[in-house]
Amino acid sequence: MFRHSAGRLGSYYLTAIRTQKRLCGWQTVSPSRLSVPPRDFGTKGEWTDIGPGAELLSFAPSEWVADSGEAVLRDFVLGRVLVDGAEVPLFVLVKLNGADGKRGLRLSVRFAKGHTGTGVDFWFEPVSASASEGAQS
Amino acid sequence: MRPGAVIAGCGWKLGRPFPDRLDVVIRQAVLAALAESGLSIDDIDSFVTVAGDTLDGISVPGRAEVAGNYGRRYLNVPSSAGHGLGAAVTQIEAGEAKNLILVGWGAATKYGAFDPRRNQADPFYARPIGASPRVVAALQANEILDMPGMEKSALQSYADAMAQRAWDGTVAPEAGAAPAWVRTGFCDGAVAIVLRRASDGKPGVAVSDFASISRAYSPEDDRLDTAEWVKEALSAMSGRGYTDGTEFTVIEAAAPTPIAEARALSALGFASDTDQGKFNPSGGGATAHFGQATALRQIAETSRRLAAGSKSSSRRPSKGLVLDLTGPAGQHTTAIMLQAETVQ
Amino acid sequence: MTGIPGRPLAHVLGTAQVPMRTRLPDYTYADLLGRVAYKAIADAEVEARDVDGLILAMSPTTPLGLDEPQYWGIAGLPGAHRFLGRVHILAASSLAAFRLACSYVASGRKKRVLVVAADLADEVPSLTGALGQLHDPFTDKQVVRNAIVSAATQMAVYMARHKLSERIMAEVVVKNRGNGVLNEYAQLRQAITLDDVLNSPVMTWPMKRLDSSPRSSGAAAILVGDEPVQPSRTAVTATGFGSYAGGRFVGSRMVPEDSAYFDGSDLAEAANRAYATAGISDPAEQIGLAEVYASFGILELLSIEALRLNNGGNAAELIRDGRFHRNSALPVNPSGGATCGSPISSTGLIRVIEAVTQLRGEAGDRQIDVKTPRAAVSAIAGAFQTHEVGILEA
Repeated sequence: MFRHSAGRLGSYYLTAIRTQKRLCGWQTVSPSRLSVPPRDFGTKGEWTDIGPGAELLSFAPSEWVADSGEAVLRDFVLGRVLVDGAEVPLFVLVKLNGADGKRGLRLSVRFAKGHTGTGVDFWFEPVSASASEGAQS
Repeated sequence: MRPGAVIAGCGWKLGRPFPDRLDVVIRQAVLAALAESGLSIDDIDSFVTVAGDTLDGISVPGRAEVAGNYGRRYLNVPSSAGHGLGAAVTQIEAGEAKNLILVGWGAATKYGAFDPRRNQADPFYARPIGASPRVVAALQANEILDMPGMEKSALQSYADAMAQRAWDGTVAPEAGAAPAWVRTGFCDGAVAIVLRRASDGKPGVAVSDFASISRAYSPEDDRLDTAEWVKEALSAMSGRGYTDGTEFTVIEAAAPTPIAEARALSALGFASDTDQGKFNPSGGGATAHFGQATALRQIAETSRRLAAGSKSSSRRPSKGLVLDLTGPAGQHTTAIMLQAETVQ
Repeated sequence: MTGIPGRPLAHVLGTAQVPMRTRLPDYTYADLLGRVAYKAIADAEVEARDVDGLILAMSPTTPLGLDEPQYWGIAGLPGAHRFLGRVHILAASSLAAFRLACSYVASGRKKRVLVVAADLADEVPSLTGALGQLHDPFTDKQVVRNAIVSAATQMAVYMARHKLSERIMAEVVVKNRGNGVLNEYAQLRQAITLDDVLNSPVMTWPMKRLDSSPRSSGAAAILVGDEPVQPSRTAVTATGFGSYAGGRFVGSRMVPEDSAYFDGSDLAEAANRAYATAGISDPAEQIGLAEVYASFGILELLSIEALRLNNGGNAAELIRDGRFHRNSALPVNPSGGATCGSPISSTGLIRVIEAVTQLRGEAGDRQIDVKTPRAAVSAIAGAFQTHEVGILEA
């Protein structure tokens, strides 16, 4: 029913994920911050690549939300990660592949072959997983 | 800063759900608060309401009518109980209001069947990946579990104790796969608090200080640690540093989940395996959650406890602390200090 | 607020708005807030770290499709770590939020509070439908009543009471559309004639399409503080506020004793409260300009009278005779008003910004001759259900 526009900066960010398999943030001087996803403050900025590695900080165990009817994708959990090069954590999808999910687990980004123009177009997996890009589950 | 506002009367009700229409229960709470304050509705010049959009189906102007606000000064501050209290006290301190009623409510029992709060997540980066408030709270709970003192057995005891206190053992815990200390206990609630100027010299419980701190939907902190947010709110109060909680007779906290709540209280010396009786005597907010106004009940209960305690002439004026942590992870945190004494 | 009449409650340090449009696809809701927030503190020459409070005005959220947007919207804004809350009273939200910000400063609790608001009106297929979600299902929804019908009813009663033609009723929007031509932020910047209004499609008689504001996206921000910070700039202060909740479901107001819905007397009471605080006894003489929220022309007519800017006579005929135009002694809506663009959450702040800009003499092409350095601003929530009035002085 609603049609939301991702905005100028958001569209660049999502397009970069879709077409260039690239994660980036919007670096501004005023305010001094690297925004991922990007935030428009009406001030000058530039795109800065981040990743592909990241550190897992925490995640939501599937069994704690499975009965809620929430739209959590099968085989994925919601995680908070600190992507290499980013300044602050962000919410992302994580595919643990049976790994322990402990704080500090090293991850690497994976990109979907298809695209939706949203945050499901990429996710993170432990670095011991296959190095090739995986298809979206 | 000298306190400018005192709490003169309170009324509240919880239900699972309310047996009566929501507007009827709200009106009863307002009348009860007025009766306790000794003021009549004609004395009231201002209202502040705390009511979330998804929790009552009442149009905004209708909220003013439901609360009995006709002809008076009005603000609707639905983001949290702490923000509503801040708006109320500030108007009194600024000389804008003399006698004010703060009214908050929510019909949240239905959230147990369907949680519509997923609509709070932004549509691009949060909603598509399932980062709804419920899932964010579960993520935070998993993170807090690794923090010192957060043992599962003690957390289960805490959650059970809170449910017992809030519901007097009359309501069975909800079933589900998530542990009780991860689950939010949704209910219906309505609270009314009458505030007046301290300079009137009438009896009341002073709102001696308050401060609000916040984070965004995706907090930029290294950890979603409610204890750290509590410390920051306490530090933000005018002229105060961090306190260890020993100066307070009562300490209440309302957080999205029991584990987040227990963690918040740990900043004031609460240990999960030691119940000193002064932490969340009301049962807390996580097990009696009716939306953004949840902590108003705990402000009201604390005020009444302090007022009852101060009637004994042998006791020093007693202080209470209420910590409102609203939001998916409790990231809108307000610390409110109450003190029972007659303010000159 | 009580105290010394005309005593400054808070100083307006900086303001910002974006040009209003039907659609703003280059920006998300969060982007709009970011842009106006940093533009306002730049206007004030204040650093973000020196902002110790942030208030968001947002209402309603049904057009946005996002509940509790304060969580998403405040990330990275000045004062975000000291967020004081969201104010939510329909079209009166941002003027009430401005009042609350001034309260925090006047009480001494905060030194510099930023108020922000943004609207995206074109992301939902039917704005009228989205706004219709707000009506009470028992007393309102069965009646075909929305904002348009409500205002049309008021318009019909006003015409009958004063025996006015539809032509005279169209004067107010023609005035405003002429003002909008000069306003770089206005959404509608073409002048129209009385015949244009009369020939536009009837929405609900006597309301025509050109009597009504367009569907608007926009954003605005104001920084208030306890003292001025720019010595070379005209200082503008808020000196009084009035708030009055009529607070009735409209379905329960259609009784003979309740005339406030038709005569704006509730707004008059809010104005009286503001005037009492600001020390104003004769507003028609002591006010130099007014920016009144009026998404329909009739609301401006009722607001002028409720604010006692008219000294007798009905506002419609006075406007026909030249009063309240931009070159008159007391211009009303020199910005073009909501007639030329009305983002609902932001509109209260935009009224204040326009008043401040005129009082400072910084309005450029749309600058009026401010004969008395005092402005009145007003906003109405719903169909005359709650009301806010503010007084600003230079």
